[in-house]
Amino acid sequence: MTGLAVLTGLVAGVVVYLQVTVPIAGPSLAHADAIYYWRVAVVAAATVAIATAVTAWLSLRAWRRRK
Amino acid sequence: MAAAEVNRPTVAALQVWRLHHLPLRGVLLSVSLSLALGLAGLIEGLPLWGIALAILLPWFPIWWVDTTSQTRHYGLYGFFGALTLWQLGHMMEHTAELVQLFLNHGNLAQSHGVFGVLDSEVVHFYWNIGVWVGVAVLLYRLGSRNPWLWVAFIAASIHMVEHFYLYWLYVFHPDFWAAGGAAGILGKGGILGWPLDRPYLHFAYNYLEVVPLAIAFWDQSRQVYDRYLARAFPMLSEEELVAATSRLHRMTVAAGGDIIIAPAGRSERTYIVSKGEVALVREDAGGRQSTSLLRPGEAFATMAVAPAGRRFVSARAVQASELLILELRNDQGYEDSWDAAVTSA
Repeated sequence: MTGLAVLTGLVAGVVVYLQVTVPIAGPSLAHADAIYYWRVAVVAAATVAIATAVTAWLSLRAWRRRK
Repeated sequence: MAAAEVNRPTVAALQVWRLHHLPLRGVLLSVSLSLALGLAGLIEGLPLWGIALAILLPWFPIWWVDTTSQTRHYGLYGFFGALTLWQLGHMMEHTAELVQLFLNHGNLAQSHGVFGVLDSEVVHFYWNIGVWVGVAVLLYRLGSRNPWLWVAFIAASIHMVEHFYLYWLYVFHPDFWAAGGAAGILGKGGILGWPLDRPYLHFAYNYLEVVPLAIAFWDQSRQVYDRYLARAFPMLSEEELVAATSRLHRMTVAAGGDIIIAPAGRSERTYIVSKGEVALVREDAGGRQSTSLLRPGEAFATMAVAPAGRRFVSARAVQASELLILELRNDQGYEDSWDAAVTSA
C-alpha cells in the first residue's frame, strides 16, 4: 500500500505540475454557456448510476448465492 | 522471517508467470521481428504510429496464443488479462499525450498520443463502454473475492458518465462540442469546471481506473486454478486446486507420440489430459492388458506402489495432445528433475 500511495502522490504531482506550467491552448466557453446542456449530463449520470447499481446488486446477489 | 518477506513477492511473481503459456521460439521470433521492423520503420522515416505499430505487430500472435491458452485453462482469467493489458496500453497513450503536451507547450492539436488517428470522441466512447462492461462482467463473476475490482468499476463508471455526455454533444451538438463543450462535465471550462484541463483530467480518470484493475488482476492471478485439474479432481477444495495449479507443468505430444511414463518406484506423478486424446494401456496382476481412452479432464497417475497389482504399460497420444503433470510430494520433497520425455512416432 505504501508503494501505491507513493505512486499516486507522484502521479498527482506530475498532473498538477503540468496543469500549472502547461495550460491547454484551445477553445473554451463561458460558464453560462458551458452549462447549457446540463440536462444531458444528468441523463448520463442517471443512466450510468442505474446500470452501476444493477451490476452491483447482481454481483452481490451472485456472491451470496456462491456462499 | 526477513528473508521470507523478501522472497514473498518473487515467489508470487513466479506463480503468476506460471499461468502464462509463451512458446520460447515464438517469443524469440517476435523479439527479432519487432526489432527488425522497428529499425526498418526508423530508416524509412515512418511516422511515430507506424514505427510503434511495426514494433507491436509481431507480438499479437504471441499474445493471442497466450490469451486463448489462458482462457482454455483458467476461464475468465484470460479475458481479465487481455482487458488489463489493453487498458495499460490505453494508459500509455494518455501518458504519451501528456509528454507531447509538455514538449509542444500545451498545443493540443499537435498532441494526440502515438496513435493520433484513434484520438476521437467516438473511439473514446466505445472503448470506455467496452471497458466498463468488461469490468462489470468480471465484477459479477469474480468480485466476491476481489475488492480492487469494485474500485476499478466505480472509477470506470464515473469516467463513463463523462464520455456519455461528451459523445452526446459530439453527435447531436457538434458546434457546441467544437466551441469548448469538449471540456465535458468536470474538465476546466466544463459544466462543473474543475481546475484540470481535459487531457489532464482524463489521464487522472485512467490512472484511477487502470491501477486498481492491474492490482485486481494480480490478486486474481493468485486465486485461479486450472479447469482441467478441477475436472479431474472434483473432490479438491479451491485452496488445494490453487496450490496444485502453481506446481503444474505442461507437456505437448504430437499425434501418435508416446508418453514415456517414469517407472514405478522412482516418482509419483499425475498426468491430466488437457487437450486431445490419450490411449492408456494397463496391465493387471495376471498380465492381461486393457486400453482406455482418456479425454480432457481425465487423469492417470504413476505411483511408487501400484494399487491392486495393476500398472501402466504405455500411454500414447491418439491426437495432438497436451498434458498437465503434477509431481506429487514424497518424503524427499518435490522432484527436481523431469524425466518424462516425449518421443514422436
